[in-house]
Amino acid sequence: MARPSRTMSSAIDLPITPMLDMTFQLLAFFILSFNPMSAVEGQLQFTLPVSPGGRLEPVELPPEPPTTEPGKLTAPLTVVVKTVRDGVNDGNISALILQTLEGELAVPDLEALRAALQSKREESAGQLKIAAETRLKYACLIDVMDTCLKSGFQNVGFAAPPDLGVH
Amino acid sequence: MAQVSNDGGCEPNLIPLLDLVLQLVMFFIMVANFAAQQVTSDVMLPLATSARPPDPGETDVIYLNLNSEGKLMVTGREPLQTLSEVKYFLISEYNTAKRAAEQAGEKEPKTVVIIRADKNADFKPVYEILKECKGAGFRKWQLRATVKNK
Repeated sequence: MARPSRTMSSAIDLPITPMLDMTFQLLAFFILSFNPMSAVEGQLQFTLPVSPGGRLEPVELPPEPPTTEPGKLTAPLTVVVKTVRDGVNDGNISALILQTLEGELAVPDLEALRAALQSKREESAGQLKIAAETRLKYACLIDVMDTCLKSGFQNVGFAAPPDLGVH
Repeated sequence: MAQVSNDGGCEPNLIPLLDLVLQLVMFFIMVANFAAQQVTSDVMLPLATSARPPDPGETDVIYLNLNSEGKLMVTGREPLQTLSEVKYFLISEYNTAKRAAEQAGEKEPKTVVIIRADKNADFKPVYEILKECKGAGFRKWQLRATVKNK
């Protein structure tokens, strides 16, 4: 039996093509699952109102009455956001009312709200509630929340919508 | 570069191509965010200048995606149509998180509920979901927005 000669060429032929196929499949998977949008997504943190004893409020939330009267305020500062659905201004902000323990103050726009909030920040200890109507567009609510956070308020929460149960 | 074989055929050199593709694969592996599979591109987030980058250390999270019609979309499920479906889903998620927390020796689950609502949705479904989250027992939550340059 003839033995193979050691002098014969013994170069190992690696199968590159199947490896390339597999690599292309991996590449396709990662390209398809790539989501660059998550890079520009940010968080807006807000807090729950805490009762004086330091514990969180009871789990069951009873429907709160509309907080339109100054005596019924549950926070030192409440921003009431009203909206209209008239076919033109669907869900946009129609009125901004800043409620304090002293009374109400209507503000024309978000810049005026920011200035008013900055002047009230010390006396409210950074606590604020937003009472937005149910048909308000979510983007407008985030605009209001953004303004509150930029005014220096750290504890921003939501009150029950004033019109909840009306519609 | 193409090589000429002994029998006269032309064989392309695939090794540089393989190197390049492997580098691309490495890049996409590095930037792959598997948590992003829980979010959906159907939701157009509102803009906010005060939005901060998400904390990468928060791994125990539940994503709740609300579309422009106010329907809750959860990964691997049909959109939840009614409030009772949402309530049942949140309670079952909380119970699962609570069991996991108890096994880890913690009193309360540290699950963060992340609400991704469409900018054209009404506030009502967002508020109702917040209320149901609170009713189910969750204590930490975030709203998500697109970071807007100041």
